[in-house]
Amino acid sequence: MKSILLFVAATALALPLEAETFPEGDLAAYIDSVDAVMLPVNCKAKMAVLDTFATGEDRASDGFFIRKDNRVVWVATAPASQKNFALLRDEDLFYERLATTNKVVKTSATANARGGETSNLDLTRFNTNRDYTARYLGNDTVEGKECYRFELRAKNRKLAYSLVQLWVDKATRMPVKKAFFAVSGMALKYFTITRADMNEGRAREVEMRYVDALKPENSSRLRLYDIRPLSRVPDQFFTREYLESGRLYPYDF
Amino acid sequence: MKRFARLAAAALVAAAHLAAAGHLPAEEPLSFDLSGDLDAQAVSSSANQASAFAAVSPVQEVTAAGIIDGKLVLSKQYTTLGLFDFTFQTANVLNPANGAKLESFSLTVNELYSDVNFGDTFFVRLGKQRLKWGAGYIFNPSDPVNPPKDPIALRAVREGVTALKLELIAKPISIMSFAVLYDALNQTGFGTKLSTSVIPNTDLSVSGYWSESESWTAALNASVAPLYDIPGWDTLQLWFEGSIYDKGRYATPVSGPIPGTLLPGEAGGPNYSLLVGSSAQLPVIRTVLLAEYYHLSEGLSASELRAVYRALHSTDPAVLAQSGGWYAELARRPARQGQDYLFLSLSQPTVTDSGHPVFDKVGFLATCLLNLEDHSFFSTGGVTTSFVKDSAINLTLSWANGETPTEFGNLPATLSATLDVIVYF
Repeated sequence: MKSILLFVAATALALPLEAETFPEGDLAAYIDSVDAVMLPVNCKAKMAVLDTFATGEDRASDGFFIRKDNRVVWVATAPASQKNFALLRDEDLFYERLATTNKVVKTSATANARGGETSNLDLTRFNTNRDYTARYLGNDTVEGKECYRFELRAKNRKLAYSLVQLWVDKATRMPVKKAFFAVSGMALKYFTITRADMNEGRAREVEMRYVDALKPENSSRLRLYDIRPLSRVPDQFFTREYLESGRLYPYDF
Repeated sequence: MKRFARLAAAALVAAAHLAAAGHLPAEEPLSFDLSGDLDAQAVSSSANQASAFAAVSPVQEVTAAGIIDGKLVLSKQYTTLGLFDFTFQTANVLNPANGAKLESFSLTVNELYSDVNFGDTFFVRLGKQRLKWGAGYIFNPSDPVNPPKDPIALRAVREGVTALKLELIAKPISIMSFAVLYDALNQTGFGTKLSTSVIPNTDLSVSGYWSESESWTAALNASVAPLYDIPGWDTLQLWFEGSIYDKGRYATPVSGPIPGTLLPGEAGGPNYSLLVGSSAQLPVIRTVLLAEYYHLSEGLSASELRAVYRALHSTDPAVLAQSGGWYAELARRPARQGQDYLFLSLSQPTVTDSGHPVFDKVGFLATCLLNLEDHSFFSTGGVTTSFVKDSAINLTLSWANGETPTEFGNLPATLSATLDVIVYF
């Protein structure tokens, strides 16, 4: 009997610890709903970015993006020298159109087309389940908010950060904080939502602050506003040919 | 005839725009957008006294210009678009000897077209437009239509051609067909381009063009990002552009009746030209490296080019008079006189991107264009600064070097310094 009990205890200890069961059921569906609260699958939004550096310098740029699920086009509207610059994500391919020449070149997800702390990834990839495998880690409190905490591991390290930790406000399903890590586990950067105006369960305006984990004095403040779901988005916006044609992307359509 | 063709084109553009606007609900907003830059430029040049062009096209040592490059876009929703791209320039030539000043004005309509799309896949564009062609940075051998790029000019060529373009954008293949109008009806050309990205990390296109005056042209373009899936190597891009065409585009030397005379003769066909290029951006420091090699089968060999320039340098007035047709021929083909060229470029958008108050606002560019046969070259080096928002101050130095009977050794200016003060709007 003693040996049986010892065997059972040893087996139980040998079993890997299971992840906590997510209290709201289907984890993937929950992650999708978190994405949808911030940005609908088909939408457009304006964006203002202010990069701040330790030297006291800052740099501002404005633009907007149009999203159709996994296709996004980001267009610069300011400064004037960058007007008409566009960054296109067509599924897993990235192109950029240079502002002055309309020349279109292929670029990568990890490049920083507009500089600062926001990479092409940050500007154009919004489908968490597509890029990451999520695991629920438990509860946490961030900025006074009761949050769920998740670990996201990249499915394709070329198109996503190797490891991400995500905190989601239980009450609103809005992300509160997201931290990005390299393969080595070194923290790269993080963002916190500093303000979110909600309307019928969706974000209408969001402000977030990206911080360089290695140089915390370098940060980018990103403000998404005029977020509007769209019933229809033209496919033509997300083709290389449209980019090369020099056609402008209208915001009002 | 020329004036009639232009008026007809403008009328068609206007009619197309009215027709397109008419099919949209009246309450749809019409939006305008004006963008561009204003450039105050001063150029100081050191005349190349050994240039064959010194007598026919003397270099002005000091010039100043005000240039406005603008783009006015009118759009209704995303289905209708009208665009007017223009360059307005006022140039002043200053004579240091007596202080005299010559002023000239010019307005160039680079593009003026109306663009309509039907659904998400079919597009129609009518008017003066620059038809997008190959991936070549310095030269497009596959392009038989647009005014060619000028590799030794600091400002890009933006002017297009009057054309009707129909485009079907779909996956996996897109098709573009067009008709180009020129001054004479028999110069009207027709072309088609098929493009696809069905091969992973590759953009491929084949095109054909024909006109009664230019005969046929067939071309192939390919751009590849071979290491796109490897982080750190994903900016490496390779491209190829090549064309075969029936009728020669450039003159070949033909011996004249007087010994030493060379006449520009018509080249036979078919001929070909090709370009291969590569670029990459170094991670972290963001330096962009670019290299292109191009070859023209009907370019002049080193010995032919030497013979032409010797004829133009001849002290015999009869030889010079007989060979004078080469002035215009050589002037219309900058960096396309010979057969083989190498272009190298190194650019640094800004020294740093870390908030440094100075180095975040200073960038560099250096280029070198080498005629591989006569070993002459044209190089530029420039600094760009942008300390004031929406503006830039650029200083560019250019240097042409080569022996007397070489291509770049005969550029009108040996050294030039160009200062641009640019405001973007």
